Amino acid sequence: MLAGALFAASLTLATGTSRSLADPYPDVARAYYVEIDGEARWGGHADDAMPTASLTKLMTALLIAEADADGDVAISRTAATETGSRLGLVAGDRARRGDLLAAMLVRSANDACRALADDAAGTESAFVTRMNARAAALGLANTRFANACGHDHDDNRASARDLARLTRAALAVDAVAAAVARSGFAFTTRQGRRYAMRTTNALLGTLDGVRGVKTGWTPQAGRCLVVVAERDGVEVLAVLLAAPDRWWDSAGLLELAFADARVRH
Amino acid sequence: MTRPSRHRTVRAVLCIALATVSAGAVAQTGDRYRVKSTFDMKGMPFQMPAQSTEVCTARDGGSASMVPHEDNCRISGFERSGSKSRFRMECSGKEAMSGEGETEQLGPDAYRGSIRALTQADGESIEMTIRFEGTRIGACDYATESPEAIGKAMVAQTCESQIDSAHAWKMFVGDKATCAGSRAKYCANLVRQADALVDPAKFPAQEIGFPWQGYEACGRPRATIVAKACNAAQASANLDFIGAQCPALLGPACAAADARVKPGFVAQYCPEQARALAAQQCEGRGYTAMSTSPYRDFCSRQASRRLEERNAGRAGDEDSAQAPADAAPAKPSMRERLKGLKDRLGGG
Repeated sequence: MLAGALFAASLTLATGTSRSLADPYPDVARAYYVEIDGEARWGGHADDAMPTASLTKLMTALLIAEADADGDVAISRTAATETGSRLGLVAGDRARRGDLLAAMLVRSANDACRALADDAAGTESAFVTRMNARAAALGLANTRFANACGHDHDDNRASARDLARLTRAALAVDAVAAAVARSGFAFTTRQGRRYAMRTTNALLGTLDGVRGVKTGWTPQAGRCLVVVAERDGVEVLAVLLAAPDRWWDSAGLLELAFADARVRH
Repeated sequence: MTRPSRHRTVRAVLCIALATVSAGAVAQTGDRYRVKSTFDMKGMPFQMPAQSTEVCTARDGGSASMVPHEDNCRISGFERSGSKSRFRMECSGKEAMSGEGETEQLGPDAYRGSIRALTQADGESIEMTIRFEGTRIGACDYATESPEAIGKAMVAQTCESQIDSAHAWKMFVGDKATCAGSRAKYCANLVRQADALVDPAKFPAQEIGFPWQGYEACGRPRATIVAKACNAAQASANLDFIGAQCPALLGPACAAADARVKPGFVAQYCPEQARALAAQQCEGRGYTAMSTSPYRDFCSRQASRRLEERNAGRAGDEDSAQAPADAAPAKPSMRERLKGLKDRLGGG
């Protein structure tokens, strides 16, 4: 309770000092943020702390991949009973950590995510402590995690701008960058169960230049997306939180950002 | 007058520009003299050492070049009478001064002269005298070493270095053009360049700062070049160029354009066709259904247009943007409910 109140107070302060950005597309999402070649270009409510749904998994992926993507992970009972987007992993089975990492990012699988968190820290709450410590180290002033996989929770929030910074940190790790760029993935567990999946990111392989990154959806968060695309040496990163028409509008936003870059260069 | 400023003046007067002398064979139209100069200034407690330089003077017995002077000084009114001559000297800049001088030919191999000048320092008027003596040391080519000839050579060199530069058109075209004598050659070069620009591939991608005025000054205005480039673009079906530069050709180009092949062109330059095609191929379709559509690139670009139209006039800074509605959303449409169901089934 106290931690929540302190967090809310810190978010209010942080939001009060937000940097102003041009906001030409206010209806694209409740909060959005666009960078062109690493430079902030557009944003709306870009420093407001918002529910982030499965974009939370970017932090989980960063911690797991930074530590060690090799070795096996036992599927915990709590992981096997995860809700929402899931593969149907079975408690007691074992899988390669790198496979679970990819499944968590490609299919946004909550059971793979929870298995990784439990394995890494013993309990989810211990893992969340690590997530928040890493967020602080990255300077994510408007970010707070309450669980590893992005389930709705009043204290599981981040700003669009913070998510952009988190994404850059995550993409700097090869295993994460490779996984988020996959349009499909399949793996087999130690007990021989095979799981095949397609990406939840509809822009991958559809929109020219898209290199990934992560989707999210929960009733509180709405449709969320972080996407990175590159064309002709120009890189655009866009974060949309609670975007009613996530795919069409993110595609439009990327086209506009590339057009803007052409005009400005 | 303080000592440092006196020294500066002394240096300025005695530091004489050296003429460039060719060591090779020369047409002997002048005499080369070694000239030693000394300087006197009223109140100066010490004598400056003599300075020496070489000058090339006209063979017929006298010219302004006999007078050693700095680049910022101008010799005028050089008048000769018998073996003597008189002149004025004006120096501009930080060490400005003015005065009068005279020379006297002492024979076929020597002359001497002096200049009495006034300068200002610290609000004071200072009188100075420069004395010089020239001793003939050989022959020189006055036609190329005279100040006038050197000046002309420098102008010619500058004109030649800019003979291909459209940015330098004011040097070649117009009443006050320094290089008016090279105008024909310059414009021939620019016309050649302009004729190359009619190739859309060579047309400037960035026109800001492009020296269209230069081409216009040589009879190739931008409109003429663009018109020819548009004809070339039409012949080669270069739709990107037509879209950017040839509004008169847009009608037929749009009618012939295939949005599956040139999605950017249709979306950006053919609003009527784009609207009709978007209604057929994009609107009402889920984005995920576009992955196999040949119109997916067109529809993505159309999405950007729709986004702009939807937000037209709503641009503002973040602080003025409307706060997000925290109230319960309006009852979702059937499409929204289907999307929600799909999200729940598909996750993420």
